[in-house]
Amino acid sequence: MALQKAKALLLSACLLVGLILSGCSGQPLAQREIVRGILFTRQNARYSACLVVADQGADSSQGEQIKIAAAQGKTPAQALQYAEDSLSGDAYYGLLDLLALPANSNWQEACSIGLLLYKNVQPAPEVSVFVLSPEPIQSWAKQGPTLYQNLKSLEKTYGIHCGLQQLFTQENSSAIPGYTAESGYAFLLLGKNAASVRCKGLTGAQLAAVLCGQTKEMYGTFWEGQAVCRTRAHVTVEGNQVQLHLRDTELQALTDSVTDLENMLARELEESFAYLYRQTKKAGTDPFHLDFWQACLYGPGSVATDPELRVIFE
Amino acid sequence: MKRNCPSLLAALTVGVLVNVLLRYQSAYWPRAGVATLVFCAPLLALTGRLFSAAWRSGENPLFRVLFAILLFYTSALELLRFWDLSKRLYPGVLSLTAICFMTLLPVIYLRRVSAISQTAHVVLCLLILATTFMLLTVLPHLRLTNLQVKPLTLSDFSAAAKEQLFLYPEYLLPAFLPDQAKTPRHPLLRVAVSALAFDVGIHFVLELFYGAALPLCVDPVHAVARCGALSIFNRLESLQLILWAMAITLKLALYLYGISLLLIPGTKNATSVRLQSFPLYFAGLWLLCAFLHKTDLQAAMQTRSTLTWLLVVLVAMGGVASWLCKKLKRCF
Repeated sequence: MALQKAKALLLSACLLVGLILSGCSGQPLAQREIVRGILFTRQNARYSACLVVADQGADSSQGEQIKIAAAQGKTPAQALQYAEDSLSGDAYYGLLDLLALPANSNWQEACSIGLLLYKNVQPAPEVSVFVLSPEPIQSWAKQGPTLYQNLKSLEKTYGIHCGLQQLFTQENSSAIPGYTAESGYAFLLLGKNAASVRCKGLTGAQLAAVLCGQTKEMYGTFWEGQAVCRTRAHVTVEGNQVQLHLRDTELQALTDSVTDLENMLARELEESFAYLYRQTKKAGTDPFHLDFWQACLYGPGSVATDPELRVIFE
Repeated sequence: MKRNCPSLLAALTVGVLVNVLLRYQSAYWPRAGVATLVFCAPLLALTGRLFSAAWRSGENPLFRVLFAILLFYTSALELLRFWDLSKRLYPGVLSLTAICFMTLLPVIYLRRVSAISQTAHVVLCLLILATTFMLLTVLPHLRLTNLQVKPLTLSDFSAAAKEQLFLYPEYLLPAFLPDQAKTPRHPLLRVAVSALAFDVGIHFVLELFYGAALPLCVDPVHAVARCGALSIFNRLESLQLILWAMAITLKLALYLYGISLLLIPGTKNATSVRLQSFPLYFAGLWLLCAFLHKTDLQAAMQTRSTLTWLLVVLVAMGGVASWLCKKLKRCF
């Protein structure tokens, strides 16, 4: 009996050692280049890829330091490969948390870059995706770290998140937040066979982001910058009516001429929704999932006809 | 009082559940899967039951050898599938030999049926706990609006049925396993229903996560798990892989036990595998894996399922022939 116990212990020990040693052939992380973000731009039909890499040689007491590796290529894949080659060690993508697509990306381009990353980099599907602003990048070395940090801070401040897998959740459209040098963020509605719609501001970009399910927070100015709003939002659909529920809403007038802020915000949101819906209908897409709710309420095949937004303050 | 042969139901269940977790790509839309499950689960259970009856009636050395070869080949495919998965997730880290070492060494410990049964219960509990934990942590990423509302076509239903009728040896093994203590009623139906329900449930979670991209994603379960608390460093990705390795080891141990019952004479009611068999088993499996390492695994798995169905047909024919012979002998 004792012998059997000893055998079992020996085998357990062998198993444990085997399991521990089985991962030892890999290169230690300290010797690898930990990529935190990948930024793409397109200029004059050439792509540029910028890898934001954790600087492991920097003083850790000042928080995480980052460095840049960038290269150009004819395709995103080539640019990414050249940028990777310019690193001093092997790239490690296990801690990748941000991807930025070129400004004015269309649906095909966004999807092809997404697929490229899935194939070559294998990021977690929830890695944050943004589209860069149309302003040209002069120097990755100077602008890259700031851009990365601004995008991370944007995500945190506005609670906006578009995961990589969300590029593919609908067959013919995608919705991606965009970086803008101004406050807030832009929002892009990309259709398979249609021109992209870029909207901005509280009642444009942020409303679209809420309708797409990418955020629950709205914060910014409205009525041509004469009032500011901070609120938590969620959407329900009832028949022909898209209900935007606003909770814990804080409204503040920035000029004396503005009164009845709730009414003004509601009107602006309703007008903006009508515009966004027209654009998506023209593109033949349904980024706000209105058809889904219609199908849930009235059965498969039923389609929303001229839905209206109703703002409900709670 | 120690039981002679404890129930292997948990081991059979783990064997079929792990196939769902290690799937290369999702196979069907969950709505279609729910509809086909109602027919496929009883059909699989009935197939297993008929196979058992035919096996007992018309058992012969040829069938035993064929089934043993099938189990051995399946073991190699399971190892290669796990190696393939580890290659995709951690390129260049684990060699085929390391995978063989990692999964086959514990099989020695699992040479007794009692060890297989006990470990299977533990692994089954761990699998359920890990899956629940994964679901809880990825819950914020699941979106109801990702469910697809387009009407299903006949091809969707046939794809689901084809996938669910993938015949694993677990459904056939009870035909020659020794009588087990405390086996519940309709064990094969339980295994089939739990496996297919788990499969459909996981597909449903995957659809909530991936939406229209569900059929395209590679290693979908692992990718979803990475978004929750199961990921690298501060999370538990390595534990997830160890759990999968344990489940595969258990599966291999069960197959080895089956092979020993089939091939070694006088071991009809044996409750363990002889230690002398292990060197040959390890070397043979390692060589077969090395030989098959460039095979298209998806095609090989499909072929394996077809071969299993062929074996069922062959044994059924043998069983019917044997039954007829007995009847004729009684008549004359």
